[in-house]
Amino acid sequence: MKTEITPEQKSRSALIKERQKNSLFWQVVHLLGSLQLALILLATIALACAIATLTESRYDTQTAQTAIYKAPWFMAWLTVLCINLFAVTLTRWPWERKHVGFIITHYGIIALLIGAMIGMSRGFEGNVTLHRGTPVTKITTRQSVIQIESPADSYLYLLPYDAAITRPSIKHPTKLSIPGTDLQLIIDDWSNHLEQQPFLQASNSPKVPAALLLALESKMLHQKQIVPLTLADTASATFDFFGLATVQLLPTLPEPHSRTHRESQIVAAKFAPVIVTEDQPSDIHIMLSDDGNLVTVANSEGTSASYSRADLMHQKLPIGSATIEIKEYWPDFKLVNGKPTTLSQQAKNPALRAEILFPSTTAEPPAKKTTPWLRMALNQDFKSIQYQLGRGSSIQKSGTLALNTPLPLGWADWQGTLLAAGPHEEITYTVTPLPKTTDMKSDRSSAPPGFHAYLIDRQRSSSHHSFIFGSDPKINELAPKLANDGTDFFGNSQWVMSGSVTPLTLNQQMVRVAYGLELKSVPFSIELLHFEVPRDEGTETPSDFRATVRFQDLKTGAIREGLIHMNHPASFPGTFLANLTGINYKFSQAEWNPRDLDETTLQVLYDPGWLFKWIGSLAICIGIAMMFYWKKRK
Amino acid sequence: MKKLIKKIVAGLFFVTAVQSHAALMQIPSSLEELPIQESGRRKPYLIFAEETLRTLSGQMSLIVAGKKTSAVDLITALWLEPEQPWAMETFILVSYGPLKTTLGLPLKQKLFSYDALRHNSGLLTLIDQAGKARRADPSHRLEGLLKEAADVGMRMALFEEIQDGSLFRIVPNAQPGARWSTLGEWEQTAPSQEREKAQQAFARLQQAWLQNSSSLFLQSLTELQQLFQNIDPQPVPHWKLQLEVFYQKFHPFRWAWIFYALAGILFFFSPDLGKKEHKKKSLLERLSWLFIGSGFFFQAAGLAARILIAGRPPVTNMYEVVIWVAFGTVFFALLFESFLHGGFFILGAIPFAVVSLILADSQPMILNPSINPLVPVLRDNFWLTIHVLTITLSYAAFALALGIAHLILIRLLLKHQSLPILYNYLYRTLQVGVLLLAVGTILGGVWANYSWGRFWDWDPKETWALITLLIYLFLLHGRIAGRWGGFGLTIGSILAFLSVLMACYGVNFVLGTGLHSYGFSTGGFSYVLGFVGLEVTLVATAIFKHKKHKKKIKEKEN
Repeated sequence: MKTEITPEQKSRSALIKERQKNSLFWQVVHLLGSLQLALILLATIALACAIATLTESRYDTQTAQTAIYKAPWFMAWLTVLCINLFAVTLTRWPWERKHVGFIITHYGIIALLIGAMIGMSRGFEGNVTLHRGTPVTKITTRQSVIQIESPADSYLYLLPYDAAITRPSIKHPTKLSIPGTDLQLIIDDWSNHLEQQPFLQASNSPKVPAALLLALESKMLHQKQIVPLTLADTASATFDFFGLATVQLLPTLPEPHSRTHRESQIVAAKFAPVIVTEDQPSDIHIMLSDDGNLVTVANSEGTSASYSRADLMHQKLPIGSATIEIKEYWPDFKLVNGKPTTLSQQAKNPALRAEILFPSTTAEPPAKKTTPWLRMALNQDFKSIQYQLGRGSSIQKSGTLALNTPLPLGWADWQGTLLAAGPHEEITYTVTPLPKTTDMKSDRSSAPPGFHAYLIDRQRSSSHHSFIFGSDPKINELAPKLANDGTDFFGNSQWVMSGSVTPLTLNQQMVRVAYGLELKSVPFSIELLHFEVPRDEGTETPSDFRATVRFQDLKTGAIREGLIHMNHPASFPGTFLANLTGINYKFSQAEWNPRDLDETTLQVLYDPGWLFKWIGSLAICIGIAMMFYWKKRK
Repeated sequence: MKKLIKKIVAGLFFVTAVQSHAALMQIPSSLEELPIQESGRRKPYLIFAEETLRTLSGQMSLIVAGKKTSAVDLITALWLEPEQPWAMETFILVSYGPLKTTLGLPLKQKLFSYDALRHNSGLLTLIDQAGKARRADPSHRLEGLLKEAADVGMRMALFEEIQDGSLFRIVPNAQPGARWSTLGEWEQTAPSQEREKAQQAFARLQQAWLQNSSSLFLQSLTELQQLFQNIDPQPVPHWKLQLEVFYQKFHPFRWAWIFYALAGILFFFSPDLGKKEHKKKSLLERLSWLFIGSGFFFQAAGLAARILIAGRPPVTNMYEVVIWVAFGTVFFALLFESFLHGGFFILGAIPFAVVSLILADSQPMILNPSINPLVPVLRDNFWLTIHVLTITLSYAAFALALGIAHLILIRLLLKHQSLPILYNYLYRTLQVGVLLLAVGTILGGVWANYSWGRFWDWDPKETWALITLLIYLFLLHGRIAGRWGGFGLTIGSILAFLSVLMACYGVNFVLGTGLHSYGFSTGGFSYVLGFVGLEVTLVATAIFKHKKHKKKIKEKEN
């Protein structure tokens, strides 16, 4: 490890010491490039990343990104790292041959970080869902934006804004001026998960049909859903329960009527019977004596009668409303190659197959064969409903359900509760944050984010007290809402949900506000021509996803086709230079829809920092190798 | 009708007990090498049988009717004697204690009969709940009771598939990628002449099995195979089937650790340890080098076999990674020994390699040795080779550093002597690790840029690779800054290895989030925790002793 110190080296280290003593510049450089700072940076960045991964595991990716990875302090810290890396190379000036690896490595890291910064500020990541045959020219980015339609000029104003990162509160609201007006948009709260809850509003118009509100709840799955049903049309009168069951509101319930059921029983003297039935069991028990000569039949009431088997063979025997017929008999029953046969004609293991026909109550029209369903009809008092619960074409339960009384549906532990009903009801929705206590992740994933906002009149409020900006929310509540002339200072506050347009009003002025991921137009169109999912042999497990796409330049009309499959993206324009610099739109396979093979979702990357990243990466690898292994031979 | 027959079979079970013909006859190699399609792959019947029994019961053999019965015997018996009351036999593994308590099953019992589980309403409710939770949110990771119940449910379903014969898909399909058929399925579509032949051949096969007639068994199996050849002359190259059966029976990695362990014992007692050059090698030393060489040969051959069978580099699941890292550790040790003689590298590598290989050999439920098809993103041998092999080799170098650090600490603790040359060795080993980890992490970014469409997005696996790199860089920079010397480097190499463990095992098994989800699994947490505990204790003791030692020296100087 130790090397001899030559006189030149001595003079060099003396030079470095000298300039550090005399020059403030070199003092600063040595301070910024000190190993102490490097150690602190390495340790803190490692620790921050470790905490971030734990945060991500405990909470979610968003939280980890906001708190650490994408937080301003982390960016600042990485900048300090760049400065440290640069300064340390200066401290070694004048450079010698042995410094080559060291310098390449450290500059490589800087290049990589610069590339990352360029990528973050100039590039974008997004995704696009393609349907076969429909060209697309817009890409959904990861950047949240607010869109505001000004009442003054009806223009759409776009502003990058992510409530989850800004975290507005009553204390620190976000204030946005509406161009062309005196209005200001105040955002004072945010939520990662908003939900829409329906409620009924009595209408004066007799044309509005009857409606009800039904709560479906499972304690086991921690799920609750409120379903509004109205008699307006079939679609709004039906609710598809995750494809597992159907809930339907009808003007009147259909009359049950009867149908014949068929049941097959294998009865043996020496083992338990095997009963195969379509949906309802007949409750008729057949027994066979050990010698196979006597058949005993017991009905559901418990009365039984015995018959000679030989007499019964292929005869129809009525038992109550049912008919029994013995179809087959095996004296020495055995399964051979999966088929029932008799090994001998001696009654060693007698068994028979009987068929039972019996009527039962069913409902018409017959629904899908085994899907369970709930049908409801409103009573005239609108305080209770008539219901029928069934599966397939048979009714399993029916009765009257009063308001706020839970009804077990027989679908796992799901319960239905009638919350409200009325003769003429409009269905409206309120948007509220999801309670923090909800522990099902699935609930959260379907609930979009959003923020809480209202409008104020800037001029009027500034001429008044500063109550609107007061830090205590109670003051806001108590403050006079009306000016002397009877107009409002601030409008009604509302939750603005991502993905939908919310109108906010103040004194007859309406501002439409929309929040969500920004759609970015690209200078070309992309169209899915063909999508195919090869599978692992003999299974349904995908082994690849292959999408053939067509790009068309919107200006020149030039067409380019590409194949996107796993690990092989396609890009546009896709020339060598574009690929090298990253000034290129790259499409990689991201998601697919098992139910629709004409659909695929691609990840889109436009990364002008790519060249820096690439050069930096190469430099780091080569630099480290040189540092460790490129030494002067003695 | 099929449903009816199934139920009849179930009904019959209440009257008779298993009187199987399993293990009475030597299974011919033509059955062991019979190709069968299962889990998206064509594999020899022997491998199919062992994997099936392992999934079902976690065992390689079971006691049936008082006889120890191998997997292939047992699965064949289940196939050829479906009328036996197998559902009453204890085949199905329930290992999770809390689940057994909840379901009212005896805690000490590991294996349960299908019938006992089938009638356990608590279990059925849990399986139902697990299914619902999965349907409601497919990305949701089941945990605890639900996960274990779902696993038991999967084993029960597997048992049902064995029972109704639908698992035995041995009739090839000429169409590439298509599903193979069971004999019964094929007979329904086959021309009547062939159908009759097949039925007769299978009936004779069953008869031969029941009569323990090897010759008849072989003859009827050959008849069946001839029928299959008309469909597809060679669905799998014969050498591949033979190789896989040989690989499965031979257990090359078991031989590797046995030889390594022997070599380690000899090295430990070798009087020449640490002597760089000597003219005459002692017999003992020659023997230990022979053992090392044999172990390395078996391990390399085993890995080569796996590469040939699977057609991809052997780093696609935790089992393969553990074996590959053990291999890399010995490889680096041999590489260093080739120009820095003395045996310290070998002695440092052997404990890690032996422990890893024993774990891989003995814990198939945690480290699954099956060769299964990969998720689409991993099906790229180029990236798999250059990214995953590099990253895992860096783990191997760090493992070697860990071994050398242990040697140093043990010498300090037991003999109160330090060997400065060992610090140099440690530093060189760490350099290899840092270079490979940096290159591997960056290559990961480049791959991600192609597969996921971004270079870096703070995915937990990428982040932990970075954290590990930063920690080792911290260790090396601290040494340069003079913050710590050889002893600090030693302690650091041990503590930093814990972050390797986190990057390699923790992200997949503990954190359980992120894009590298194809590697996620459970189990083995107690082993890892035990290892971490041991290492921390060792480090604490060493620091304590070292400080005491230093104090003594100072006092002496004064």
